Amino acid sequence: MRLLVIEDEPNLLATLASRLRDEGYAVDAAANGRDGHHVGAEYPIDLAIVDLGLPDIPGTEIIKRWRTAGLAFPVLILTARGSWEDKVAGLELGADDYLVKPFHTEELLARVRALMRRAAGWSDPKLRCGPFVLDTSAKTFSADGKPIELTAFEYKVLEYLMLHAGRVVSKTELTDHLYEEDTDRDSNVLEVIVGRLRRKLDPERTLNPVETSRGQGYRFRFERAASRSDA
Amino acid sequence: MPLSLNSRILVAAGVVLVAFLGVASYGIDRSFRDTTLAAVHERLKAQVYMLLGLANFDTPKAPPIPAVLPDPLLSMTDSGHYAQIFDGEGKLVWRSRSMLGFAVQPPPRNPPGEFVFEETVSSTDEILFCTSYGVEWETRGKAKPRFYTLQACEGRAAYDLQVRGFQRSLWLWFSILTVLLLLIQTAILRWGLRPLREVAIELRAIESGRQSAITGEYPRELRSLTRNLNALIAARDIHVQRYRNALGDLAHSLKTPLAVLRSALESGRFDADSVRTLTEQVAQIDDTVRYQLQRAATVGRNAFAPPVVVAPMIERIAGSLRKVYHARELAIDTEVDAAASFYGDQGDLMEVVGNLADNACKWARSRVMIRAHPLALRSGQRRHALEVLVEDDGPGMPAHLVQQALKRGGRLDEAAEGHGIGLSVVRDVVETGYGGLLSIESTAAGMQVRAVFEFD
Repeated sequence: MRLLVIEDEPNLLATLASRLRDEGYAVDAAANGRDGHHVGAEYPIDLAIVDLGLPDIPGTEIIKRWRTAGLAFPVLILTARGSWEDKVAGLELGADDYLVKPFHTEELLARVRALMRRAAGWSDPKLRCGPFVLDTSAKTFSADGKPIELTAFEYKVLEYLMLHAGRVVSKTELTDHLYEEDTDRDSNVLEVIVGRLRRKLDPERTLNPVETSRGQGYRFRFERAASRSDA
Repeated sequence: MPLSLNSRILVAAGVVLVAFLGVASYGIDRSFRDTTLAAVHERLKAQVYMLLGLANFDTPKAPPIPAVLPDPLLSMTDSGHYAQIFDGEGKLVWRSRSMLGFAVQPPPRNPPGEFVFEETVSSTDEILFCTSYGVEWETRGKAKPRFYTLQACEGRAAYDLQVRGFQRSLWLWFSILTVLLLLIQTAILRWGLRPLREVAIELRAIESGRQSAITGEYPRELRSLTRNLNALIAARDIHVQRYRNALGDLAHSLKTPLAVLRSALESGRFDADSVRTLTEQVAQIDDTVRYQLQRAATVGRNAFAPPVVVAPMIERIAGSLRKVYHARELAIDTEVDAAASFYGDQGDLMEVVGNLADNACKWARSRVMIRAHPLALRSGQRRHALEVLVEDDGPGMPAHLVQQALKRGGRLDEAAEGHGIGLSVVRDVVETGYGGLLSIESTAAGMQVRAVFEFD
């Protein structure tokens, strides 16, 4: 999952970005409104965290421009003032959630996960597809109730595929959403990871949870089970 | 309380009026008495002259005055008009027929040709005004002239009657005049003080937010007052705005460093002990900053703010919360009286409703209800009141925890971020800012928070 963080305080930006990367997100960090707006408008990000008090362009203005341009990715606003007038104004402009500074990083991570799930149409933090359950808050995975160990990158790939379960996800889409802008991308790595996931999820080779759509990409074959939201 | 302008002017005018009328009626009464008495005197003199014209003392044995007199009053008993003549030795020579049955003391012997006016009492105790006149009578052929004193009298009763009648009508007319003058005075006062009353009405309109400045045309004497009041209102608005902006900037400049500190502490680069101590301190600074800034940013009851229509504002907050709590599928409903108005700062009301509704959403199982309606006041001291009720179907809160939550900066649960600080801020806004009341009640269904605002 690829995140954009716009925050003008360099220390906060750096700690936030590194904490989010530790969580397995690809993070594009922008230190001002202009760059931030550009990244959000031009690259396939999954979620943006926007500070409202930016020196060049107000955060609310950036959100308004994105929404006007038809960009629908979830936006979490950070605000220092914390007044309800600001919060309501931000939410009405198209933000999806707010967090008042100073916040607990855990709180931020929880909100980010919730917004990601909501954007993909899930309401429960546990994604259930067939016998498989991915717990997005505990970052654990199980099949038929038995826990399965995943590496960080395996988890990232599986999370993306399961969030969009039932839909074909191209390799380009996967790399776009899993890697930051300036990293080397090797599609062979993806193939290796998917291969490892298939062995871990389906050692008997009977379920085939991750299908390969020739020339198009991958598809998580099991559709989401109950507890899905309407959004 | 100092006496009102109205009463001052009325009392002063009344005192002056009474003093003036008192002195005037005394003077008029005196001059009327003098004039009437002078008239009596003149009448008696005329009667003496008449007697003198009729008198004939030449024949000593014959009566000096003819039996038939031109003034019939002198011939009627008890007519109040009397006349008598004494000789030089004070012996009664003649008296009018009206003096039947009583006598009047002879007057002292007058020098001839002189009138003497006196008040005397008859033998029947009737008070009389009498004028006597001495004459020297020379009979032809006799060398020695004889002296006579002619006296004409009039009962005082007629005079007294006249004076009393005059006094009665004088008092009647003066009373009518007093009432009339006081009425005119009151009318003049009302007319003269009308601009002041109009200013008061406009100020009340400004107070309740129906207008933002004094706009009426006023007399020269009041114009500097209304100008200054307008300037004061404008200056106050600007001042409040500047103050809030400054506080907002201060909040921003403190919050971001705190966010940096907190995220650095949570990055796991420090040992657990320092992290615990420092996190506590950061939390404490944050709480203090938030609480004090919120308190200072609370505008409070503002006599000059236009009323905020509550319904759309609460709907906006509910809409925002539906978005934020989307994933939890809460039913966030509102029930707001269209007539509900908030006579204060919109930001204050948003802070109260926002915090209460946000708390309710954090704890609710499935539904949150926000209600607001104007309140009928029993005491009638303040003119408006607004009641805001926020209900949730969450686990509720035990009574001792309610007290703790309402305490300044009290925080119940670190995990439900901002819960404690939210309630104490709300309480501060409601109770300190608007003289209202915040109460929390656990109900069968969950929890109900009730905020009542009172406005002047």
